[in-house]
Amino acid sequence: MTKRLSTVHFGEIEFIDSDIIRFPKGLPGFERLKRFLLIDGKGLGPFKFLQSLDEPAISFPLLAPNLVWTEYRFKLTRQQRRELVLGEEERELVYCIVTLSGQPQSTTVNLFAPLVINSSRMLGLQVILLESGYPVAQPILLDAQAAETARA
Amino acid sequence: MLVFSRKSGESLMIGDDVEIKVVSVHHDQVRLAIRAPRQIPVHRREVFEAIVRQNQLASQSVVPSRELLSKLGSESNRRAEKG
Repeated sequence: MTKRLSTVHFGEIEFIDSDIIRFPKGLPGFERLKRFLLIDGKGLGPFKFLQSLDEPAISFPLLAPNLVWTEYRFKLTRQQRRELVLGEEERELVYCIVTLSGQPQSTTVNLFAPLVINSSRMLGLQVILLESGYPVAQPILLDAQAAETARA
Repeated sequence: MLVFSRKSGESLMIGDDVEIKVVSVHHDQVRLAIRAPRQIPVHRREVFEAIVRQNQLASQSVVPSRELLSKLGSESNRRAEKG
């Protein structure tokens, strides 16, 4: 059955129950919020949004990390795989949360705590890559200045 | 909140399988050793708080501007050329 949700950025959106991704622990700072939709809209380019179903005012922009950071790699712990009910052969989806302010130059991506989603079970987890050294706020236009010089 | 006084070398147990031991005390710094099962993540509170703060900032994001999308697009082209 089709359901509807009024969102801040995307107006009214339609979804069905099987579109819902559950984050059993919520996200740090948003532990109450357990159910989300992944929004992949026109005009968003490579961005997706993780839209809360429980709190329509809350959504998180996401990027596939390899778009901006080709060397990005990490290994899930056995415990994290267990929480995601991720089998040996199953591949997970990885997105990083983006902080989008008005200024393109100040847009950052959180490489330290990516979202990992088991898409066959629609289960998600924000993992913390404790030993990785990845930053919480990596500017995504790392070479924005170089790009402008090259174009000029 | 429970408050304990412990000396160097003394421990606290939380349940059966989490042990927190005071290794040394030096001026205002305490070194702690923690033994816990693998499935219990142990990290400095600041680490968690930094993620909470970043999630809160991100939740107030705007949709990507056309300017950002075009900049990102041209960068990914240049990355592809390099790669």
